[in-house]
Amino acid sequence: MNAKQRTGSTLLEVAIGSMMMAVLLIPAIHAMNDSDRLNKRHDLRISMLFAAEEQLEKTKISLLDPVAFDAAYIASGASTVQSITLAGTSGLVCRTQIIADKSIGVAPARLVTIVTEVWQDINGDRQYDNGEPSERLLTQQAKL
Amino acid sequence: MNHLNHKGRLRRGLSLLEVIMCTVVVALMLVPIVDLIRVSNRTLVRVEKGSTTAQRLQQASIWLRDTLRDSQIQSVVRNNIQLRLANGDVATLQTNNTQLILNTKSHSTIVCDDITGASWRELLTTTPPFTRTGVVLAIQANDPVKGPIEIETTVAVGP
Repeated sequence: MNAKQRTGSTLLEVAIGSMMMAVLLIPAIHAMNDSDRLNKRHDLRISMLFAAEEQLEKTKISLLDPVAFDAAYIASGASTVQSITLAGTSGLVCRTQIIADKSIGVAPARLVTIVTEVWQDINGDRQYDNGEPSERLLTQQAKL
Repeated sequence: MNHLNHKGRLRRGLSLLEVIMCTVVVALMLVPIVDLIRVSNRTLVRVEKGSTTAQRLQQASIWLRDTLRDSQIQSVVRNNIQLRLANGDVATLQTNNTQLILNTKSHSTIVCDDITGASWRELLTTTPPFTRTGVVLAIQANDPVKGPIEIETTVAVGP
């Protein structure tokens, strides 16, 4: 500073102030990245639920055939794994399992639980692995 | 900064060290700013693009599936599906150029816009009396990036 009192900041002060502001921006970048990631995950989950519900409906239709229903009831626990083709989403695999529910013992009524699990098969082994995004839906169907 | 040079005269300006320090500080400051601009640009592109065609068709299919599930299907023919909605209204699902529309006596609902086509077929039991077990709906549209796409939905309408 010269003898005359000078008002204002030096270049160094301005630069340091700007740097501090820039440092404060880092959490904002993280927040935006997180929001983007969550958005993508949400879209994927919607697609997986759509695929799971589609599979559930197809299974329900197939079980409307009494012969198919009885066969599924006898083979309780058997599961089928298939790849799902869905526009806009790739690498989805679905496992459908039909489990006999013996909780209603009024013959000839029979009840089955249909479990559908859809996951994004990241490593392509057609098996659900920890960390792979997945959705699971289940419903029950009776034959009276 | 002001300095006295070797002749004792006051010199105005910055030292080389100060300039270097400032340059380093500005460079450091630019890193997160550039990152922020990049992320915000990506978000802007995503928001401007809106939902993809596949997502749009998927949402329409989900709405249709829920509507059909809550309704009583009266007929499935090539041009339309006649159904009785949960509130008792009779409705017709049909296409109109690039729109899939659900018409009732009092109003029309645009189920999906900008489509290239929609089709449906009923699923029947394999044995007599061949009752209806489900309906398969397919909506087609053109995606600007992926080209023609189709989303198929199955709805069980069993007893």
